[in-house]
Amino acid sequence: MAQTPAISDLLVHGHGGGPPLLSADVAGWLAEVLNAPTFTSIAFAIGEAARHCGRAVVAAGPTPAPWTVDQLVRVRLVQALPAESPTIWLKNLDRLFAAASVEEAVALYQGIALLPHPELLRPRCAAGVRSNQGEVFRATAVANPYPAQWLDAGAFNQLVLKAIFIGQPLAPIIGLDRRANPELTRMLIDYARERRAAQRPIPDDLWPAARLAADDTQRRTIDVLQRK
Amino acid sequence: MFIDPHIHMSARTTDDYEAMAAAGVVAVIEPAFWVGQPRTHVGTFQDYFASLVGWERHRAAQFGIRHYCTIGLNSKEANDEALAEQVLELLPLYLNKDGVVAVGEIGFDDQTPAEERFFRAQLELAKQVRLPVMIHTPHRDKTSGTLRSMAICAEHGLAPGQVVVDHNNEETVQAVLDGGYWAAFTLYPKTKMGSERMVEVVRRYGSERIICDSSADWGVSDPLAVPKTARLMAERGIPAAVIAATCYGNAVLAYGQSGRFAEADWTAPAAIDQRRLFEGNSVLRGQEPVVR
Repeated sequence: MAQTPAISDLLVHGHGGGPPLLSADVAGWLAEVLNAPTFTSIAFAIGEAARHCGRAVVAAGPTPAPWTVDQLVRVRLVQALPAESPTIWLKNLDRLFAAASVEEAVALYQGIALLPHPELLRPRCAAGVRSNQGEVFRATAVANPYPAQWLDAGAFNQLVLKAIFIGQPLAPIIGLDRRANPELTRMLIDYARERRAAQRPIPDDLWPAARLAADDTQRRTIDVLQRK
Repeated sequence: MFIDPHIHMSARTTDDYEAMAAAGVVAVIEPAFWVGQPRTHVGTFQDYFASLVGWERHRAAQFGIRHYCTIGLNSKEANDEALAEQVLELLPLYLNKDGVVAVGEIGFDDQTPAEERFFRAQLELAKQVRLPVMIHTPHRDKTSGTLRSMAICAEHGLAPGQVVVDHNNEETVQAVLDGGYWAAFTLYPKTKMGSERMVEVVRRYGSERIICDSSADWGVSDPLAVPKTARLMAERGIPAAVIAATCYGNAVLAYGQSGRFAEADWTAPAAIDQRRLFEGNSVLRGQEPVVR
């Protein structure tokens, strides 16, 4: 996964020969903040980022998610948090997440794969998955390379189950085919039975997801359930 | 369209949000205040501020209402000085965020030296982040507390047009308007101003720099106070322009000075905002999300 240069390059040079994403003025503001970043100056800049750079949609961002310019700038700012001591870094990062507005949280969770020390961010990612603000959940779970790469099976399964529970299509979840496991299949089968019992519709994309890692018994169960 | 520029939505139910949206409320401002009992840890302040910029903003959007807030240390809790000092350190972490449209509500409760100290410190913060200020005027000894609040704002060099003085009554309004400040009125069913009295205030003083709000919270109060008062004004022959200014437009002018509160936010949201606005149905339990 490309790190800091990817976002900086996008912001300064634009995408595929297009115009830079930041005007000279805004690029100057950002460069000034990044020149001597402290926790406070970064927190402050994250707050005002969109008032400088606007919220235009970016043609192609550093991950498959739909990025906007302010989100790129906010993640770029978080990347600049001094990270020499992982313990202090994580504490400061947690403070930024804890104080984030909805919009900031969406940007920060969307960018977790682009931060240093990704191995320390499993609990943070799981917190994003637990969020009951739909847009925060989606920023963490959908079109985000982090969960498939770093979450353990239990946490990844919760992500998939929650997605199906809130009606989020599964296709844009990165790495589902790779991370599918028989326990996930069992959970999806149980969920399908629950929906049946309540006479509620079952999302079409539950079945292919349940089949990904199904053993023979599970496959037969799915066949029967799906025919009903 | 109405704006309720002072309402503590964290204390209200989803029924209230539905009723407000149905009555035409398009945007609300939730000032940071006390929560009915004193907090004892800085962490509870932090979580409260976080919910004002996070969860409550999200919750309001489910009902098509734009939620903004003000951040500040209220006067009542300024009296716990050791705690207040920690809260003061926390404020810069929140004041620069997009949904934060003023420093507030700050000012006086018992008019103690501690209240004055933290009031002054927060006026300096407001200047630093170039935000308007929302002043809470005291329930007791109101007139003198109101005059004193304005004098202190002037001492710190705040432009009167940058300051909204709230919870006015017939005794305070003249001095507040004469000073060039915004004069807000809290429409409470029992205490403070009732809708009937409010009609007489606008009849006498017109609409310039006058703002209506509900300050509805966890006590007996009415989240529909602004639309109801607007209706009463119309019934009593107050001109439509006066109603529009006091129940909508003046709030846009006053808090729009933050650069973070603009009519286009709710009349012409950007595509990216529309995508976000009704997303997530976590407050809906089995109902279809309403998309208009």
